[in-house]
Amino acid sequence: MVKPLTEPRAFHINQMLQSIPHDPTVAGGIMTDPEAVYDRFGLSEAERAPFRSGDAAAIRALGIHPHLLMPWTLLTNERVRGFLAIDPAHFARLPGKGN
Amino acid sequence: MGKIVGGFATSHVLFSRAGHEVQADAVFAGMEEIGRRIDALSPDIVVIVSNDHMINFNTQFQAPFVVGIGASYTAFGDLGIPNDYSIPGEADFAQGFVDHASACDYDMGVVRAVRFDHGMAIPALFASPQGVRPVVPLYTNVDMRPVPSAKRCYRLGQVLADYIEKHRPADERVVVLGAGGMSHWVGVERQGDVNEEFDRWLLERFEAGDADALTGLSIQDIEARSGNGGVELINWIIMLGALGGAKAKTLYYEPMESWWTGMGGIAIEA
Repeated sequence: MVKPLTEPRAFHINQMLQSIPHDPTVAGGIMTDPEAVYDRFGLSEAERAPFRSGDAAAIRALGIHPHLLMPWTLLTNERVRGFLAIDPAHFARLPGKGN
Repeated sequence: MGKIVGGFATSHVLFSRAGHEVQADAVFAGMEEIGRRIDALSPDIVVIVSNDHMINFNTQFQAPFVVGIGASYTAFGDLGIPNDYSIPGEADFAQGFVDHASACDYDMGVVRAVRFDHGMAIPALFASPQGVRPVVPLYTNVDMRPVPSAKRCYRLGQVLADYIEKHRPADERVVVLGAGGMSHWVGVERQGDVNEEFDRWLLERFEAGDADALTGLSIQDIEARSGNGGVELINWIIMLGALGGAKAKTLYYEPMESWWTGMGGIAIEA
């Protein structure tokens, strides 16, 4: 395992994934009309299948940057999104946030 | 001449306590302790050495080292991090560092309107709560080849110390805080694994002030033993270089397998 270069074959998929935190039309679109988002970023039929089934290993195998699985998981998996966040008990202890 | 008055390093995530409350609270208490110690040092500026996570710098653009020269910053708000206040920057310090680094053969990128994701924002919660003091962000690239070597990072820390000593106003007090690590694998097959043995070995090396062992690690070694996320160790090594390789004390360590990461923090007295 070595740090990836930008994978030319997956750059359009990386662009879709890295725009999730910034572009509500991408984030919302993936939840409501994913095919339109896949169209927008030019994903082939074969590249859409892993996203349709939610198969993380198959998504990774598309050559995406490993870190870019996370925005997709955070968007589509409410349980992970809830877990990977500051705990309310700790949040309340941050200076100026409660105590 | 300015003065580095302390150095710290810490992991830079905080997740749910559910199911491992004691460990999670120990981690949070460790970060709070870093915050208390920074407060006690009354620094004028905190330099936070960390990395972005595909929010500001992504596969579209990466640079080995980038310094924030903005007048102020806000958090992006990932991981539920509060982003309802701004954190002052220190543009004069930051630009001066970029100039000095250039004279020392380090050509740095600069950024103004960066929005801190958790990598910079979690340490800032404790180093500059509610934006109480200026922060200068120093970003490293740990995401794409080539990642700056540990040796080069250590030397950059020395350049930072040299800058503060030679070019900053008398009595200016600076804390350097490295953030990231410890072992974790992100978005790869081994995600969820923690290499506690390697994490503890690293902490021992910091406690011994063994800069040679740390800077002797190749990026490939670090990645093989502590994951693509564990490469964030270079942020700690820049801090170590700025503190002249002095011995550290471990403030906390928890192998947080349920958080998919080893979590640790250290302090170095200047």
